[in-house]
Amino acid sequence: MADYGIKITKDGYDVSTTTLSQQTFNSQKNSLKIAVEGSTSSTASGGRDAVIAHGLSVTPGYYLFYQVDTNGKWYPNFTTEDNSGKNVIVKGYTDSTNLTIEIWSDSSATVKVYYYIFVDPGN
Amino acid sequence: MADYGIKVSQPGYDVATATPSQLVFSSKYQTLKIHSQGSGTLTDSSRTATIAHGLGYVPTFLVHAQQDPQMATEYGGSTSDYFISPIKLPPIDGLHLDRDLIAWADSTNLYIKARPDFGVEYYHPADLYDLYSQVGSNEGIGAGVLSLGKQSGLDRQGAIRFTGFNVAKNTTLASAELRFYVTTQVTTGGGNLKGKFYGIDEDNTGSFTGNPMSRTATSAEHLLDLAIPSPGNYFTQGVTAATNEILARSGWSSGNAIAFKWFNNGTNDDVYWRDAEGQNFFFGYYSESFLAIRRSDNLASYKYTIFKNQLQ
Repeated sequence: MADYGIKITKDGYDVSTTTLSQQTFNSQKNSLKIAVEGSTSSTASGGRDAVIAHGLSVTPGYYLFYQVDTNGKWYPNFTTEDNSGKNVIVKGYTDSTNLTIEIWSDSSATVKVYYYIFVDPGN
Repeated sequence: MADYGIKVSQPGYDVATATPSQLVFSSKYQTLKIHSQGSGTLTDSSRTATIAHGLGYVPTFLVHAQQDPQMATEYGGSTSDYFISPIKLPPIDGLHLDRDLIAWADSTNLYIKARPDFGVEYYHPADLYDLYSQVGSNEGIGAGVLSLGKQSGLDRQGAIRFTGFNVAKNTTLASAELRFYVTTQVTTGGGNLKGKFYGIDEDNTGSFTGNPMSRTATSAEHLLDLAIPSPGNYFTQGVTAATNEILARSGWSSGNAIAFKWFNNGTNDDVYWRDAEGQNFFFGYYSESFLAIRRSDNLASYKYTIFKNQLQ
């Protein structure tokens, strides 16, 4: 019985004929599930690390965004942009225990990082 | 009642024993929910796209975009491929260039921006004999100096040459600009610096081991009329038409040398600009003055996804 499971379409589409991209859910396809999300802030100059224990048994995927001095502009990790004369780099890595977020700034700055840690392995 | 909710496992897994990553859905876990998606193209005249999201808070987002053509040349990958933004690769030839395409969001918009060097190619003089200056009958051959204006009643003029100009015959460039570095600014005579710029209308113009000012000029002429910036800054002179005229020559081949020359055009006496950085062998180049070209006004196409999930 190969043809079983659940499909849910977007409004206006026939579930029996839709393509995958027209479906909001298909039980044959995995989706990114967020295990942990939250924020961490650091005010300093130079480099510093924030370590987030994720409590998963796998090395998970992640996604980071950061904001400098509450200026309302959020950038994905690895973006380098001048924020009022302050240059900031945010990057991260995961292992089976933690998400480690590396924050570097060339002058004193308050850097807030919002992180998503996914249930699904990064590999 | 802690054990409630919905779980759906991947095909082949028992939902009762599946690990979280073997589930395609679990009501225990939040997901990224798509608010809107779209695509567009950044151009030189509109290097930043502003996309209103209407959410009233800062959303999570994902941007894929095409890479800078020079990055593709240096590091591989097609310019038609899409990469997750930002793409930040090592500098080319040790120069700090902003060739990346970045994105950010605030509570109103998603912004996608091609940074200043995206889509621009640079050519530098490769030898002191690619620079020429002349003040009256005094010639600076191999002296590493460029100049324009008038001093003590004598016109200052000059030329600059770029070897290995890798642009195919009959290419129509969107833009070609000479960017001149200022080491000396003399303005005692008052008024603007005024000059006439030409291409040297030859297929593969030779090194400036002699006076190049009588070499045939392009019919395209570009006029300069501006206040000289202070030392340490650059000024720009467009030479697009002259460059395209040379590229349209029947004998032109990619990789040939291209050059430009300029003459005083009514600058007041004791007003002149000078770039003597070539004397210092700046960063391995023979001048801080250079040629910047752009092949197309279209820079890169992008695709974006804005999620309902909030950054806070």
